[in-house]
Amino acid sequence: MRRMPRFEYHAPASAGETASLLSEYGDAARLIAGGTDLLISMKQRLSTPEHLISLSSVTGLDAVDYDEKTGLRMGAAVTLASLTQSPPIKDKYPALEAAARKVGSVQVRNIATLGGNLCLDTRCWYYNQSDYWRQSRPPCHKTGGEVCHVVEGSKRCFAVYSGDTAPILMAMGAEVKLMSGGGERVISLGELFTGDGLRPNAVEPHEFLSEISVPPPAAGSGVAYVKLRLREEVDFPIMGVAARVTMSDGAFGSAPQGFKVVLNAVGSAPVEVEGAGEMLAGKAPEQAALEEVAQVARASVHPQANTAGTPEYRRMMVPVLVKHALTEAAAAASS
Amino acid sequence: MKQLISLNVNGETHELAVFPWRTLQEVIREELKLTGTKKGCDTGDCGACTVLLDGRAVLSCLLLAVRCQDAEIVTIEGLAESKDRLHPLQEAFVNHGAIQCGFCTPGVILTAKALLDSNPNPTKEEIRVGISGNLCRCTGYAKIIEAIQAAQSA
Amino acid sequence: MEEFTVVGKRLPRVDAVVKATGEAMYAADMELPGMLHGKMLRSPHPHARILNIDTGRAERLQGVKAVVTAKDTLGYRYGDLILGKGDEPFLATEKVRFVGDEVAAVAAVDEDTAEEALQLIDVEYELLPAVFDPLEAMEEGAPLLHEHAANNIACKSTMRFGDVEAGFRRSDCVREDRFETQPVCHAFLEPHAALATYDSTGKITFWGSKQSPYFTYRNMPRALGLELSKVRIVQPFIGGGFGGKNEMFSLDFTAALLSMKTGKPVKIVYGQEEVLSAGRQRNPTIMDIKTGVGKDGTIMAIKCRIVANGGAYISIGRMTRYLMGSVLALPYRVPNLEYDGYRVYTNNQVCCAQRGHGVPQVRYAAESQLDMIARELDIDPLDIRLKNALQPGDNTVNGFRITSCGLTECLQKAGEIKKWREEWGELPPNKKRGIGFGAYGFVSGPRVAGHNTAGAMVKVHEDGAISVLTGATDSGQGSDSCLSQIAAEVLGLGLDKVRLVMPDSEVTPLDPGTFGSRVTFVSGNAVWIAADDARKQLAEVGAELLGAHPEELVFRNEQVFVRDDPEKNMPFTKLVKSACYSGTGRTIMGRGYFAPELEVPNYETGEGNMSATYSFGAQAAEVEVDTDTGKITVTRMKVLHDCGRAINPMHVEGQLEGSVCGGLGQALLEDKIKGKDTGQASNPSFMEYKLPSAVDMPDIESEAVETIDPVGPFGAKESGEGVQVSTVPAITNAVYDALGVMVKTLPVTPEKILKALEKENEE
Repeated sequence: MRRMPRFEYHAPASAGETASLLSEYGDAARLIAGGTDLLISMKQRLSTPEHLISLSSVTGLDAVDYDEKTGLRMGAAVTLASLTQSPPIKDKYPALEAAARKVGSVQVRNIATLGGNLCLDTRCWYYNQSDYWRQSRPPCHKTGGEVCHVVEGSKRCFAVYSGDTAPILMAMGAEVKLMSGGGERVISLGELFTGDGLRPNAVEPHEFLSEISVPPPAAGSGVAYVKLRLREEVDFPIMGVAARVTMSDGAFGSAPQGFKVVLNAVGSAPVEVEGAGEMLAGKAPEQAALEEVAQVARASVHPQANTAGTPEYRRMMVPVLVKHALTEAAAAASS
Repeated sequence: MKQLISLNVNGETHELAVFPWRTLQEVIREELKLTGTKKGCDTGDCGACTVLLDGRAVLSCLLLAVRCQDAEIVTIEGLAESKDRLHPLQEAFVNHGAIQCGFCTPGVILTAKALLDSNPNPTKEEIRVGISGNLCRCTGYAKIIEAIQAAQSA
Repeated sequence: MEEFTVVGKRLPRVDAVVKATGEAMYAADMELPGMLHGKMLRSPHPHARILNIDTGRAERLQGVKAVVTAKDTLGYRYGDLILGKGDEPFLATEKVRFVGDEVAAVAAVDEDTAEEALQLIDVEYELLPAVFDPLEAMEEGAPLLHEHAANNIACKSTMRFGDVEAGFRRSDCVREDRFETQPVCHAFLEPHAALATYDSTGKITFWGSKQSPYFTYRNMPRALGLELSKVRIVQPFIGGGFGGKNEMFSLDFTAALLSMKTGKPVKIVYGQEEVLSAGRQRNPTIMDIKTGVGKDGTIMAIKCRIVANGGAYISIGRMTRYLMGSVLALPYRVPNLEYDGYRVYTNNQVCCAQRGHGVPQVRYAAESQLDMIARELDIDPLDIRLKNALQPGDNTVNGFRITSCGLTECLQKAGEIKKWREEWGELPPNKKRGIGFGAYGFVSGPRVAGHNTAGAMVKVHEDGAISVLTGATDSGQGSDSCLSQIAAEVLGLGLDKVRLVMPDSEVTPLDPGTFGSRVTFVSGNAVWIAADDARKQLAEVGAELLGAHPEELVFRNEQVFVRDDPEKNMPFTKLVKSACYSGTGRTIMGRGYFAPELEVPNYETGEGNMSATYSFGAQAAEVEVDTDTGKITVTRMKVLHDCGRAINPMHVEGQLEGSVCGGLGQALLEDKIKGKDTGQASNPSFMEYKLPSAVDMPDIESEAVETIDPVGPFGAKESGEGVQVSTVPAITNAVYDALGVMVKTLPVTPEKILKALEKENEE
């Protein structure tokens, strides 16, 4: 592993200053929040920005607010650790707290931010390596080349998205605010993800993610995120599933929009299982109903040999984890 | 290109001129010569470089030194009250056989310190989770956990 | 009165305080004035001819002080500690043989400059076909790594003892299975580091992270054309070795060479990525094993063929392939034994010793198969082990002489965990539990090659403290404390009176170092003898002062007294002062040396007794398997180990627990993920190379079973390696017990579990 490459460091104090630095340096700049992923990729020479713009001194970017009517608002630079210790989150969004706890180690969570976890770069055996390691092969799509070492002959990149907070936030209907010199835009969290292994999120070079908002929890709803990994701490997911259900009188609620199933680490973005709501709404929360969603989910993903867990195993696990997640979410809704 | 920073380490303020790309680990080891902070992997996976930043356990290999300006940093050298008076955690690690090769020891002791500061009576399971970011190949963790339990009741 | 005052006590380690405070200096922590930083350039190709190396651009970079390639060396080849026929140049000569092979090195004023210079070295390669699979490597026409090794066979063993065919004919159950094991990293947290300085007298002084500084001491002069005593090896603290820091490596020679070139001290520290992707590892194996057992459970014969994928160079491979065969005769009575072992060259990372050295692989196969046979014969897995367990006084077919042996007691105590079953209650439908056993015997101080002499000196300071000087290395296992406790006991001192001297080839006596679980047994005896020698020197003075014969004096609790007349006594310190200061004064310096009476076994035919004694043990694992995900959780383990006598029970437990951690990793988690076409691991980080973390480890009950060995110091034998041998099969057998299916390749991943269950459901 190399030592860090050189760069110029900027620590703006406000969102406005951040936006103007971004428009000044454009592609030559990278934002750094916690830096727990960025510093590794810089040591690996996957990223060699001339300018680093730090979000850690931007005022207000680490705030967490809860309002019963408008819901939860979290600054992008809130650390995962403070998120797990935040009273409104522990109280109203325990599944988010649990998902945040599943990221990295204690030390990583003390520094890594929510915004950084959402904007986590996609990963691949052939990408997340040092420049020394990578010189044994021609560069791949994601390192500026024209080949894929995972899927021979492929014209696209299959690198995997594996942030653990995104699926649960998507299941809860989160939105994100992107700021720039020209103003701000709010998009659904799902829209943040492009599904493109090369450029996994829709944040433009002159923009930065400033806030994540989540609607207030609906009565009778429950959410859960299950994460499969070889070691029960620290590891990235082999795969994960987030689910949201609504319950009414011991059965699934009748409105399809009360349901969401999001698959993680099986493609270049978190994937929402289409039609999950229709398959579940109004049914008895038993294996048969879950099985249908599980099988549709399984058919909808095509994991590749680019991360821990073989594609075959990850695919086998999709229905298993979907059922676990739905069961847990149903239990949370009923409690 | 060097930036002037003042770094508070173990209660002492150091005025330093550092390149912005230097990690906290590099500055601690190479500038301040505090070599108790170990370089195990340099990628945040082993925990041997753990230090306390405002009381929280962090990986000094994944932090830029320039970012730690106003923070209070504690390394293993700053834990004991004096040369003849070890911190209760250090004492417990010594007495319970929790130290073998010793390379993970500074990091795991500091992680345990932060853990006990925020949760003075952790269960065995909470200790396991709390130190899971600190790898150790020698001990199988059994005596480390025992030592942390002993220190919490000390 | 208790028999001992220091030995057998749970005392803190002598080095614990400085390790707890961060004061302990490891090689990478050291600096010298004017020191340069070195970095290695490694091959990106698995197999290639080096046509040209142009170092001009690198040399011209500001801050670069030297660039070296093979041209700057004497062409010395290291490795092969057995026959001395090394095949590994420390900078590649005509060829590179795996991704990571060292090609050139740079010394510069700082690390950043050295790194930059590496990018400026231009190497022209002619790519050669490569081979990664050992079976393919043995085929006719496979790419040849070394001209001298036809079919890439680095070495082979052919062991024939008794008549295996007759044994199989007499058996009621004969099973043939293929087991395979994966490459495993040593995974010490401290990467290799070396600091060397060459002075104007022509001497190299070297500090390195060496588990056996002696090998570097012997090899460095040959590599650099120096006299032996012009190389001084000083040992700093070592951040774990597990067999992976025994040998000298490229950085050791290169740091010295760069210092000779530049006239400045040079430090080279590998990154963990370099260690994991280009360093040594445990031999992956393909093992075909056939075992015949009578219906009463008696083992009749074992026949085994092992192909070990050794990687690009021989390293300690001659030993590995011998050990893999010879330990088929441990820890059970095996009347007929046949073994064909091959250590094969491939374009992979090089394999060497690792905790248990070759034995964990073989015992995984043999112990797992034994459980399958026990099931076929409807015999309890514990009973079949008890039935065949070696006993004191046994000689094995290949010539191992078993002296002290507590295997039966270990097995019986391990068997107590059967009550765990009663605690399970009703399990959810997707959870299955099981318990499994494994047993082992292990060497304690084998004579590997050449000499196995350990020397020790005990210097008595004027204030009554002592220094123990040995060449034995504490790489973290606690041998410094163990040796100190031995010396303190002999002289009747407290452990706090022992000052430690770390190995320094200029000062400390001869000792080959830490391997083969030899330090407690071999170096421990040397220290015992040296301390006793110092005691005798003091007793002469004391006898005069107390008016008694020297043999009548007892040294205990820092007092010296006459055995039958304890009123006649004096403090130890007073005696020391009298000895040092009266008359002409004396230098009290005890001297001891020890080597067990052993011949080097015949590594080809397997005949010979390789160790003066053997440790034994058994362990039990309890697992829970999630049949939805295939995930295995080891919930409890119990470890029983016959270490002769526990010099320090707390440290023995620490060794047993650490071994379980290594074994659990090999059983369930650790593996090198192979990148396509290069043999290079895709997971050279502790994020993706998954050694167990604290949450992956079960609660471990560990206990030393004492058999008081007739030769070991105070009756002690090894405790550092044996346990790792049976952790893997204890876990695989527990899984077998839970599910009824045996996974025959390591690691036992969730996916393999689900596939095995699926296959069973189909049948």
